[in-house]
Amino acid sequence: MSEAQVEHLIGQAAVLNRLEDFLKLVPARTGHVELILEREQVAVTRFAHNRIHQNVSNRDVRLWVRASVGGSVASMACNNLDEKVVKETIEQALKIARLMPNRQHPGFASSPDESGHNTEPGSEGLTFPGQANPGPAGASFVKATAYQTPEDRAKTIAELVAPVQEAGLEGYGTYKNVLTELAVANTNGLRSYAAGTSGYLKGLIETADGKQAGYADQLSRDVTTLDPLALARTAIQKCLLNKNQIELGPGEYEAVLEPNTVADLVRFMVIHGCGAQQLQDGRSFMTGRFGEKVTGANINIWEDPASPYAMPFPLDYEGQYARAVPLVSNGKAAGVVYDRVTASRVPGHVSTGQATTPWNITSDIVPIPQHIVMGGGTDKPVEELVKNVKRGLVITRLHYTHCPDPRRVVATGTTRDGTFLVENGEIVAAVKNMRLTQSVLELLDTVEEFGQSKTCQDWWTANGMAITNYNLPALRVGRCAFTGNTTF
Amino acid sequence: MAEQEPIERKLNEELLLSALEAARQAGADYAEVRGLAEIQNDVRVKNGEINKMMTREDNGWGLNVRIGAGWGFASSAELTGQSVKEIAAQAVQLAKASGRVQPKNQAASYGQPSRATGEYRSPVQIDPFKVPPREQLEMLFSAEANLRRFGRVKVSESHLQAFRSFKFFANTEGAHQRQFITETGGGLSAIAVEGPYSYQRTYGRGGNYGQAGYEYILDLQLEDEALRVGEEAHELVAADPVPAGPTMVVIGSNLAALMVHESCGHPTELDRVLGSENAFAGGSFLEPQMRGSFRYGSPAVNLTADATIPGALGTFGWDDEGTPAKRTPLVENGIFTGYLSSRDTAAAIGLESGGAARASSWSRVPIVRMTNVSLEPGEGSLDSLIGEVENGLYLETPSSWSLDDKRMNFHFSAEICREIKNGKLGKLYKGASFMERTPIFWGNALKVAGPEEWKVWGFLSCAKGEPLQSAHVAHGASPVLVRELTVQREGK
Repeated sequence: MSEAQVEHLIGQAAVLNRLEDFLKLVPARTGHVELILEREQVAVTRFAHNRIHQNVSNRDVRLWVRASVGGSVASMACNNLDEKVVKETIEQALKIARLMPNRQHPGFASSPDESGHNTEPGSEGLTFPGQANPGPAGASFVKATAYQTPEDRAKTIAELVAPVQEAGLEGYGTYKNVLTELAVANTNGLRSYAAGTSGYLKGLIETADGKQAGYADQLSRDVTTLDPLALARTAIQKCLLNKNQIELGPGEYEAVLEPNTVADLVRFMVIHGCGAQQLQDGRSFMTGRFGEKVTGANINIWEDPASPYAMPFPLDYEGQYARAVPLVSNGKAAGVVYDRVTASRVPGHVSTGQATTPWNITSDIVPIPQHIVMGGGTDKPVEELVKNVKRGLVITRLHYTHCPDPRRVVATGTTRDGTFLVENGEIVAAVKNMRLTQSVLELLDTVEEFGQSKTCQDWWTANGMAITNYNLPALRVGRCAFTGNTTF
Repeated sequence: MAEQEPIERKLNEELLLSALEAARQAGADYAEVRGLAEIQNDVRVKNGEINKMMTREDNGWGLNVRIGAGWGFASSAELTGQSVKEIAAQAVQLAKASGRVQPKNQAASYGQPSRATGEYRSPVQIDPFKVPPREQLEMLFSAEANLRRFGRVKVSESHLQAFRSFKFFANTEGAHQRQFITETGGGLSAIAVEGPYSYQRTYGRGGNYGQAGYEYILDLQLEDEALRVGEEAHELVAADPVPAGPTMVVIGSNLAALMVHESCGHPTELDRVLGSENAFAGGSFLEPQMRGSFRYGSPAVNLTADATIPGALGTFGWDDEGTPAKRTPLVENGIFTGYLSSRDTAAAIGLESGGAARASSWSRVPIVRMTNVSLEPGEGSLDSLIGEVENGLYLETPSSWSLDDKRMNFHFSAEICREIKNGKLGKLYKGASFMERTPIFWGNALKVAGPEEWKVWGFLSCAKGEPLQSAHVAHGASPVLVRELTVQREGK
């Protein structure tokens, strides 16, 4: 997009002034109103068989009006900022809120500073292994990412595809640029604004017959850090190694889990256990267990919205500053994240700033960690971790994981794009894909070594179905349970 | 001239048509424009409180253009003379950029032209957007309270939703189509907790949905169903774990519908077969050379993609490339015979489009999607299937599902499981799951129950494509008798 178009899209003053004008449309003495405005520009270029087959761009604006009358809240949303439409939307939200029984909603914040930190009974003294993100907060908006053009994306993909073609292989993948701005303003005086960018590049490399595959991806707020050539080299190398796969039977194996795999497993702790709603519903693995051991003592996991390595973003969808929250501290259940509604149910608790988008119409709105960091990362590449495996597997990534038992955080999913057998510290064969089914908590009780960390997303988030980003190390685990295999 | 419906006024058709000309002038060989105006209601009651009361309007349009072998799609919520020029220029810029990364002699085929014109309207008896919120809430509160009548139920939820859309489509080949679709539905969820265990029982997992008015929601009888769902949740959490091992099973209609979706619908999507989804949703084990000869299932297994089923979520007049709704056999007497396809994917293997190109929003490009992919009914009642089982299990409603990237190996968990002993349903079990390979599972399908047991299930969130597209699809299914399935016990 052109610079003029970006200027059109971005601007704290312009957006907040617009919301200020909209708040003047709220009829006097009718109730409180909160406006959440999200503008988004998404450009996705996809390639298959070494050619771009899909190239799309869209820009949208969403305005969510939440009207509070006597403790009841009704919502209306639109994607049109004409004053007449917004006025009708506000009036309709107020009208519906007046019709509703008292819901005891805590009301709207008056400042982004009202979020903070909580201590759960039993988790006193449990905190981070040091300080979460001791350095300055990472930048959520990077101009170079915002200014990517269709030609830039095509050039990036051409760079990725060139060595693939040279190797006689087939490349598939995606280059996605996202530019967002989020603003929240309400009749209590709250004014919040933040902008974000992201660049995501992934490459799946296959042989022409589709029987060998290798994969790599890169994620950053700043597209200048993406390296399509390095990505291609990694995926090509993996594809070429992934030949003559042998079939292995179910059982427990030592394993080296690359960070993408770790993300797909930790994801289920995050969505089923690390939010206050799950805790209050009695469904979290932390329910009744704060301060107790839930994983190995070498596991530390926390939510860190400021970490430069976990796709930082300073705000949530209630306009609150997003705070760091310890989740698992030295293996013990330490805390969960809150939004204003869930915090209001616990005396003395406040939002931790992890309210999620209200735009999702098909599911419950619950607070969820969105910037997960696991401690312990080292400078050891995967090859180093492999050297300490007697007999086990290297897992590149998982596909379509699910959670048959949320309380025990049991994950199941098949491996893909590079599964390898290790014997006595060396890769000795490629392996047909296998189904991993195991409690993530039990898996994290067997971590023996940490490798290099990576900024990444789980399969669901990377593909737009979830919202959590991660900075996770590769792990060498002592016991990884596989319950079956597939034919390729 | 007939008076316009309120939703029609959200789209200026003249401006949309002008985008085709703007694209042509900017250099497009082909262009199609699609405007979409949508309004959605979502009402949820949870644990005795209103959890969500939300209405959302979402209007916009998109322009898909081809220049040579390069495609570009741009879209915007704004529809003005200025935005038409900008979006046309963007779409052309994107198509030209696509052209930079193409193999030499890349074919530019887009299959058979779409020139159909007309209008499609889904049936509505009671306008769901005119039902007073208080009436909707009263029904949901009553249903939700019924879930909580059972002591171990700790989290209870009832919900209903309504969707209305007006879609305008035109292309440079002469197609000109207008479609008005109203969808409604709702559901229930009860989570029972005891000690370290928690189990969820639902009505149809996410509920059930169809193309209809509020009468569909009333027909769901959520208040009565809540008594069953709440009681089963209450019993489930205290039930014995399922005995593991190979056994004969009967798969209930709702679980069978999701199994059809995951293990037949997705692998028959031709874009997956041709590689377009390799890096995200995955490929398929059903390769083109297998069509007409590969045994996908037993002779009892017949699967179709049918976008003409009255009242189903995957029904329409034309798909989002302008191709008329069709019925396409996918598996006939157990043999794999057909694909879900779009214009370009069908052309790639010498076929005509199956009319299954769909876009989930104005901001998304059409891709191959399921319509109504169904397991055709056989004969007999559910009771007659159960009556054929001496020792076995009855499994109903999915609670989790996971498949490999070619849809060969799958793992499903069932919300509820009952013993079958001497042809009768017996005690309740918890924690049943199973893993199998697709052709082996369907190859073991001995019988499919008859039309009297056939039920269409509407799913709201079939995910595919980048950026993500969450599609509304439906699946008709009757219960299935399976010769042998190894049931596993989730380690509770």
